[in-house]
Amino acid sequence: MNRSIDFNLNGRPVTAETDPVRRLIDVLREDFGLVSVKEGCGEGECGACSVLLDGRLAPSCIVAVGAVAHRAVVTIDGLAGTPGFELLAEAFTEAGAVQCGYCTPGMILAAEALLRAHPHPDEETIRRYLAGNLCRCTGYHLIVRAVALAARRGGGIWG
Amino acid sequence: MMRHGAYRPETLAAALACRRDTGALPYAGGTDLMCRGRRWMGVRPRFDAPLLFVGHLNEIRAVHRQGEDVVIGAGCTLARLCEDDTVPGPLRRIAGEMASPAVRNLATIGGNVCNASPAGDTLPFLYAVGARLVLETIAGRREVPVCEFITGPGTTGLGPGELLTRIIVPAAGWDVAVTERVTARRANAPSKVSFLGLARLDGHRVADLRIAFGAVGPTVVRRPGLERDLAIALSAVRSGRGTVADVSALIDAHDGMIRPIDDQRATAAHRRRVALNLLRCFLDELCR
Repeated sequence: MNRSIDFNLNGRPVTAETDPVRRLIDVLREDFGLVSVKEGCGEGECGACSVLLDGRLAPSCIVAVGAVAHRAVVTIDGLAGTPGFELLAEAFTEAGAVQCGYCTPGMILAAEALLRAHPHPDEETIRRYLAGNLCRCTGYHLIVRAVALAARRGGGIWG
Repeated sequence: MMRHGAYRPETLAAALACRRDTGALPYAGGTDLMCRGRRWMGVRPRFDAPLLFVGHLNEIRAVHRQGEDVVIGAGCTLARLCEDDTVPGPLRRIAGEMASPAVRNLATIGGNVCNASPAGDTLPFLYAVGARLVLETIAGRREVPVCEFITGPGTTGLGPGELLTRIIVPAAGWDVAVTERVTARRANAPSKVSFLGLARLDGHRVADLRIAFGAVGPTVVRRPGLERDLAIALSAVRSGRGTVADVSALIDAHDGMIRPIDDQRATAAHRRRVALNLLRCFLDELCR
């Protein structure tokens, strides 16, 4: 595989000139400056590094960048400005769902993926969908409440 | 040390040629592989061989019905597995409980088989229904039962130049299907014990019974002889000709088949007790 990896990043076609075995998280942070993608556990267990890959949630710490060739990657930077993001950001702020903030980008992306699949989730569905995202401040109730609030206000913008 | 690169063939044929010529390591979802090759933040992971990306190959991702069977592409992700209603119900349920939503979007059933982890969650089902695996090289293909393919913890009979391309399971449904996994956390926690119980009923008769345990031995534990004996004993209980004590006696006579180990996740004694309790629970339900 050559070292030019074409993919779509936050809606724009990009080429990463790099070793295809490098981790997607490292390429996003170091080559594209997207430091919103946080490293937590480094083994796919905590969800801090979540991105949307072809519209589905994926932990970028266990993806080799060569595997995203010709696919679409969205980080929270690409979500910013969308109506869904605005609603989620507002709901997270109002519900007090942001403490240290380290897990927040991953939580917002997980919430976005959830709401695209289930625009009107009940609490159990929210908890199931966020089960792969850890918050070490342990603010889970507030996060679940924030997602429920965004869903309630969403009025079906997610589908 | 040599830095190995990666290959991303556009077709299955090209992937098989690459595998033969380079001995590259198949990378489907990468979720297990990337953890194994992991070093530090910002540092390129390290592997003993080049990577061979296969997760994008449509030829090995599809699921379809073929006569009495369901043919599942080895590159089918766990998420697609649980969304596809061609896939047998118990397997869909198992796939939907594995790892986390994000990991399920990457991880594949073929990866779960080839990793051959004692705690591989799709394996008890695949053993119980006698799943067959299609292994291909550039020169041809062979079919192997999953129980012969997996040889121990993390070891398989995958030959040089071979790729697992398909997993074949019977399409027929089950009247009773119990799938349990015991874990410390809902998401992303490997099973301490997993249990699978399947039964087909014909009135009072238990016509077909399958039982498999995961994470309590080097490979999945299944005893077809015991399944047959239990089916006979259960049929007797259900038709009023036998007693629950006969069923219990059979379990007691075979409880030596569960020989787990102590590790950081659970003690052997805990695993053994939970595994046998799950079995008793499943059989109790069939006695009613």
